Amino acid sequence: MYRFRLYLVGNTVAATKKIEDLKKDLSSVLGDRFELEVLDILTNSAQAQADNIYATPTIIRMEPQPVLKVVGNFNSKQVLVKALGLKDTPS
Amino acid sequence: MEKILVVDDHYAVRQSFKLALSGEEIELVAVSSGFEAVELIKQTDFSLIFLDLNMPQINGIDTFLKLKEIQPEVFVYFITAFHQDYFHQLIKLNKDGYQFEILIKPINDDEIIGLIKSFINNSSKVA
Repeated sequence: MYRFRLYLVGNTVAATKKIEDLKKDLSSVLGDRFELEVLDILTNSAQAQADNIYATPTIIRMEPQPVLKVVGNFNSKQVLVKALGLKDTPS
Repeated sequence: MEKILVVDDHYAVRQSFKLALSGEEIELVAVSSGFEAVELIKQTDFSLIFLDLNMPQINGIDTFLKLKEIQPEVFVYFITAFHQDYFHQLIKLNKDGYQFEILIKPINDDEIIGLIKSFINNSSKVA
């Protein structure tokens, strides 16, 4: 099972779309073998500090280890697959 | 060539951006006040703006609102720190419907380059 944590800014139409796009991209690669936790950095600053977040948006692969981060504009499935070390087909 | 604007009253921050982007195909303009930024944006389109939240004379929030009046689509990163007062200001701005991103100080060269490239690369193609 893959576990991701996504840090965004607030609750806007753009943020909601980013979450939906990400779920879709992850789902197309991992099927239902993932969990995505979404945190607003503005209201979860202590957790963001603990996770060493320096910019939004940031997605962290919490599990499996090692922890991986992608920071910035990661709106394509290819970038996610490449940067997060995901296999491109469910196993 | 992509144009990026940095607005920060701290020389060290402006210099960090300049050094980080010195070898890149990116045009960087760095100014020390919100007033300068507002004048600049009347004449120039920027792909991305990095805006310090806590500045004298005109702060980051007021500068942001003026920039958005002139260029509503401009993409802004607030440069700030993990501080409750600062975050409260940003929560209010977000509740008013404004979209922005956050860059937390201190920042290093690799972080600046990586962040900017992610936006440039993904605006037109996959990295």
